[in-house]
Amino acid sequence: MNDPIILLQTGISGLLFGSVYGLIAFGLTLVFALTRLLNFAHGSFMLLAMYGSMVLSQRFGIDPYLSVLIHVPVFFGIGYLLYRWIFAGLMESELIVVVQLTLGFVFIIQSALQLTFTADPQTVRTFATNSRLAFGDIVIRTPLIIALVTAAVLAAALFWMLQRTDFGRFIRASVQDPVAAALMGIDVNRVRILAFSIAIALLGIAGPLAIPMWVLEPAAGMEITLFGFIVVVLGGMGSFVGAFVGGLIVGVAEAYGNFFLPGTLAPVVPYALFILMLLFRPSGLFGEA
Amino acid sequence: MLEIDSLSVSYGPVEVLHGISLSVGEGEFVALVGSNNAGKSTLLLTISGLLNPTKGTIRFLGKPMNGLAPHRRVADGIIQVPERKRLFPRMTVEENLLVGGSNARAIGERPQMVQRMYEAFPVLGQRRKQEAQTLSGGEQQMLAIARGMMAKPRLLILDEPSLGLAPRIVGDIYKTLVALNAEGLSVLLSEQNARISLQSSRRAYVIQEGRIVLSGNSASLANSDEVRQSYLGL
Repeated sequence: MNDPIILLQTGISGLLFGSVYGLIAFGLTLVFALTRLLNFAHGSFMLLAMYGSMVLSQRFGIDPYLSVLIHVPVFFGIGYLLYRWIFAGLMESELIVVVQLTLGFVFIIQSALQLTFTADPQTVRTFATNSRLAFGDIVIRTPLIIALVTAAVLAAALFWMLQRTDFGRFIRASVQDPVAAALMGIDVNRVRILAFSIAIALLGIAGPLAIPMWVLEPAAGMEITLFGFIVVVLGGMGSFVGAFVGGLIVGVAEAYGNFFLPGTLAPVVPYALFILMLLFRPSGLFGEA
Repeated sequence: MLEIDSLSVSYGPVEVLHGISLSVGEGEFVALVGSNNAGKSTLLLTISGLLNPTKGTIRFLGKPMNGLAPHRRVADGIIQVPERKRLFPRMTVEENLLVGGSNARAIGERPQMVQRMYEAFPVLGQRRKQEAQTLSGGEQQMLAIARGMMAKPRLLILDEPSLGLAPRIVGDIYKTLVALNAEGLSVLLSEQNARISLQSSRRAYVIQEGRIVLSGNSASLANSDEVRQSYLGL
């Protein structure tokens, strides 16, 4: 059990899958930093994307990875309408209203998935599901490498956008001081709508990336959200770099948890990490203290 | 160019501005003098569209501004340098300028404008890659003004530009504003520092508890007993 190769392999696999958590957390961070909205349904939309890939795969034979091309515009649109019709009106509301509302979405999506696809766990095959790549003695599942490469490319694009484009500067300006941003001519509401839409669109990519590693269950949405929140807090609320680094850490923690602990105890590891972080560095890894 | 007629503004049930009328003409330098809590910031934020009036009208270049979002007023040329500067603290000096110059009227000349700001405020050029929060108070106020100028204002509004600055730096800031005004820029500013704002402006309004109580030529206001006693401490 303590074979160093296996140990290393486990860690690397966790790290690679952590990049998907990074994508989830980046979206949460973007939305939270700009709007202070805590969207508990964030993970449910990722789940929706996964079921969407399942349908596209079963009905039309489209590989889940290819379904990303359909998901990105569709989920961007869902995010756009959702923010415009619902969240935009909640900016002044009490936290509890937003929490209740987004929890409502969680249960609506869960029930809808259950009615349509039953509560049975399902798996969806991709072209890479059973393929592995060997690096010397270390064998890594191909889907993990696809996940990392995709997430890394996206992360690089997102950071470039934040640092080098006007829209990215508008996002950072609106995060740092929305009043000053408005006085400088930025349409802060538009920035918020687009950022929210981007965050949901990212889930349309994260979902298919996770398909080869996960079992689809209607009730999984909340779990994905909570993992996302752990990552966000770990990385430092509002830090975009922290979101990705936090994602990698949670990925590794989860992998070793599954490796060393019995199945019922394993999911506790990321939460334990979360509590330790709150105790010793409540501002997170990259947070402003 | 700016005409405000019987403007009232409330925070919830509490009315804080009671029927304010005020105007700024093309190329004028107008000061709004009053103590803390007199309603100066409320008035300026309402002009920029961050607060909505309960009564009264705001017109800019003849166009009604009521109900127009803040960014649309920027597009029309109303630019405000807010109280306590409100820079984007974790963005660099240059990024602050770039954001300032991002509206449709300004963006075409943005690169040239950035260079012009560095010529006008050499210290900003030296610090262009530094985060705004690392600048001194005076440098921050210069950046705040430069950021506002990047937006190509037709009317530049400044809320308490002297706040928290050393007297020498306040002098520099006002010299800059007078120079900009001499080039044709219309300026409306609010100040607790009545002395320097009355010296620099041509016309002024005195605001007290949400009402304009005095107005007129700045020099004669500075000599009136009421202003001397209440605001100049003489």
